[in-house]
Amino acid sequence: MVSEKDVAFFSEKSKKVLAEIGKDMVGQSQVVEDAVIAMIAGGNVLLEGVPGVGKTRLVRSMGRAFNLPFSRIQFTPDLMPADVTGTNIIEKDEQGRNRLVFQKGPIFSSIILADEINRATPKTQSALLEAMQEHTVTAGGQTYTLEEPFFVLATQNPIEQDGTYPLPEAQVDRFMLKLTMTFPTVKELSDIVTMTQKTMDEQAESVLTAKELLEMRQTAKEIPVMDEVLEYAMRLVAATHPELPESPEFTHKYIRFGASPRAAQALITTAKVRALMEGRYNVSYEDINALAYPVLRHRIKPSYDAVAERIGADELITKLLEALNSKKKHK
Amino acid sequence: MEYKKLLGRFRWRLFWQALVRSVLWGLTAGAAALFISSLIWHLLIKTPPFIWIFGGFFAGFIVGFIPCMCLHFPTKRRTATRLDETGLQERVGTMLEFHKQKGLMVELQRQDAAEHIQATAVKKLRLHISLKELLAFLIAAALCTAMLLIPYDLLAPPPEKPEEVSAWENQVHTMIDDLRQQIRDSHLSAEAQAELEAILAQLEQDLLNADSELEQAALIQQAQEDMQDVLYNTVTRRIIGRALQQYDLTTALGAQICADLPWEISDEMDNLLRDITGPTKQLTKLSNNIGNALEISGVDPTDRLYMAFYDFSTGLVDMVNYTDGPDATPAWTMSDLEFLFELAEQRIIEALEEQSHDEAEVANMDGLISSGLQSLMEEAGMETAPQQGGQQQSIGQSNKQPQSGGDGNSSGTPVGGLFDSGDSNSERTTMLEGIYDPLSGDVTYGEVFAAYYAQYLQALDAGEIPEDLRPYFERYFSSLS
Repeated sequence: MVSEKDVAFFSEKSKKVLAEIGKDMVGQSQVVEDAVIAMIAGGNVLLEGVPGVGKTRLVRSMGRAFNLPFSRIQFTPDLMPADVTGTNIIEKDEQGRNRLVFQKGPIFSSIILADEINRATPKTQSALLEAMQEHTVTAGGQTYTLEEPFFVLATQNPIEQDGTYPLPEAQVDRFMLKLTMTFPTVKELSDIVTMTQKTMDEQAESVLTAKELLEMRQTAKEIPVMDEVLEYAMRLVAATHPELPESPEFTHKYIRFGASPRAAQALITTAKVRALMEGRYNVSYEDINALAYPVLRHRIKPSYDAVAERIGADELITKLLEALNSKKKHK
Repeated sequence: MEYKKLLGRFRWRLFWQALVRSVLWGLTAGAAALFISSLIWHLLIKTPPFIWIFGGFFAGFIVGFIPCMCLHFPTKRRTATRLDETGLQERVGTMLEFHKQKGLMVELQRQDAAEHIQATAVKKLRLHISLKELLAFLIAAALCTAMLLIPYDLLAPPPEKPEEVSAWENQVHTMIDDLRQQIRDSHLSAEAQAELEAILAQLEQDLLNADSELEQAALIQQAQEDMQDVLYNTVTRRIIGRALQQYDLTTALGAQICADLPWEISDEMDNLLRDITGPTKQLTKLSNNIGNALEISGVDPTDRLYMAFYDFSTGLVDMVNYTDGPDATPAWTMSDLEFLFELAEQRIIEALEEQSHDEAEVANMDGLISSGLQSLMEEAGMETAPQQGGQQQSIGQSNKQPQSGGDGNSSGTPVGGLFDSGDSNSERTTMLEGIYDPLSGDVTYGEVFAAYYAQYLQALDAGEIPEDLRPYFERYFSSLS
């Protein structure tokens, strides 16, 4: 049962977490906020950005702020599933007898940075993705449960696509949010250089424990959602499907595949967290609109027409929101 | 939590806004209904009872007011939706939706919503009236006002003419038809009949369109003169006579031909013979005068009078040719010339006597026309002089001297015609005679005024009145009419 204390705690802690991570991250405030939202909501994040923009640093700062163990997995083409999950090794016991001992892989952590996930083979990818979905690891016929909270932040390099294994849509759908880290501005770049000249170490301090994070997650779930706002979110997801009659005309032309029901779940879950983080006790249209981009951009597949006309996923989401908001006004 | 109290302020504001919009729509619908109702009465060309006008407006007002009020009445949900303008929609909507639920979060949400509602000014809710609504109202009001101002008998047919006007029309038709029939029954040539009928047809049309009795009298007068001209021109001797008057040697002869006085013609032929001093040249000239006159007259060459003059002219040429050269002594004697003149004279007089029958027909026609037009003039209400005697003078029996020279058109001296008594010893009582004989003493101004007016109209049409004098003429006749 959520108490007032929990609510007050949520508000206070979420601000502190953002502040602490902000010590280590210059700019990228929206990415940081969305990542924290995803973590509180219990989802995983797919992070896209060119090298050196701070993807690893973000994850490490989050690990420090949430006081959660952190591990980094660099995905390479020769990475094996056992390298991710762990494997059984032969060990001599005290009596000198050989026995098989399961050596846990780097996945047995709370915050995982899966760097350049698209460079590994599909088999290796699936090992991680199974853990993401099930929060379990199966090795040697035995299933090991991962401790909660379990948060994966996977990265993709948008530049070097040669020799990579792009994640299939079904796998990409498991990520709650997809965040894009852009190249910092000149001012931000200047601040980064200034900061890192002093020290490269993360300065974020621990603010939360795992237990507290889970409590925050539970608290956020209690936020009420008005029927109209819920319907609005559902209509947004439905509008991404060209096969549905109620979808706008440009959906038929520019979207090949629409978002799954996981997108609808992700929208509401993250919107609740966002509302509470902003001190509100109800989800608003603004929450849905703000989270539409990270929730939907990796779930809708642009058609060939969109690719040919260089219309990206974000632009399509903007059009969808405009279409929905105009209908809302006429009602 | 008493959310009703919380939202009461906003609901009242929204209620007044709904009322204003509903009244606007009611007035628009009422004006439209009033427009339609008035239009129907206009088409029926009847003045509607007040209850129709008022009832139509009232019914339209209700039709416009009630649905609009229902549409915009501030229910809970509508209030929450409108509160979107103040940024409170999600808070208020969530509060209303979960107001029955219990739980910490919903309770906190209600408290949060209440705080924000209380902190929001009511004035943030603005009255929504679109340009289309205002435009609809203005158009409906304009149409309604226009329809009320337009007279209800605008589409009514013009009033029927009074019976007296219709009777006058019938009289005109009857009299003109009688005259028309008389012309057809006459023995005048087809061309003459057609011309006379055309004049009658024009007169008939003009009389029906005339605005005043004076104008009617002037039209009748003009028609009479035109018809007399036509009749005048049917007499061959007049045509030839006028043509002869255009040449030096035959001027006097032509005048006598027009006057139809046989003894005068004989005297004139004697005079002509006596005046021939240089025989050859004068004979040639005489022959040329007669030939040219015949040519310009346009009379049918088989006409007896034409042939008489033609033979005379040919005889003169033969007489001239009966000499050896122009300076040679003529071979003919004076007695030969006298014989030629006597023969020509005899033939001319015979031709004239033969034409007298035709002229009698023409004179009879003239008399009929004159009496018919006189009756029409009486029906038009104009004074006419009483006729004395029953015999009417024929066209050929004028005791006036015809004009010499010119084109021979003596329309200024119509002979006979309307009101002519035919008795040379009686007082002349014609309208026109009053003009030409101011010493008659018995002509009233009303009798002559129509003729004056007709002359004025003729002169005006012909452009004979100077522009700077026209206002004086107009004022003169309009003051006397």
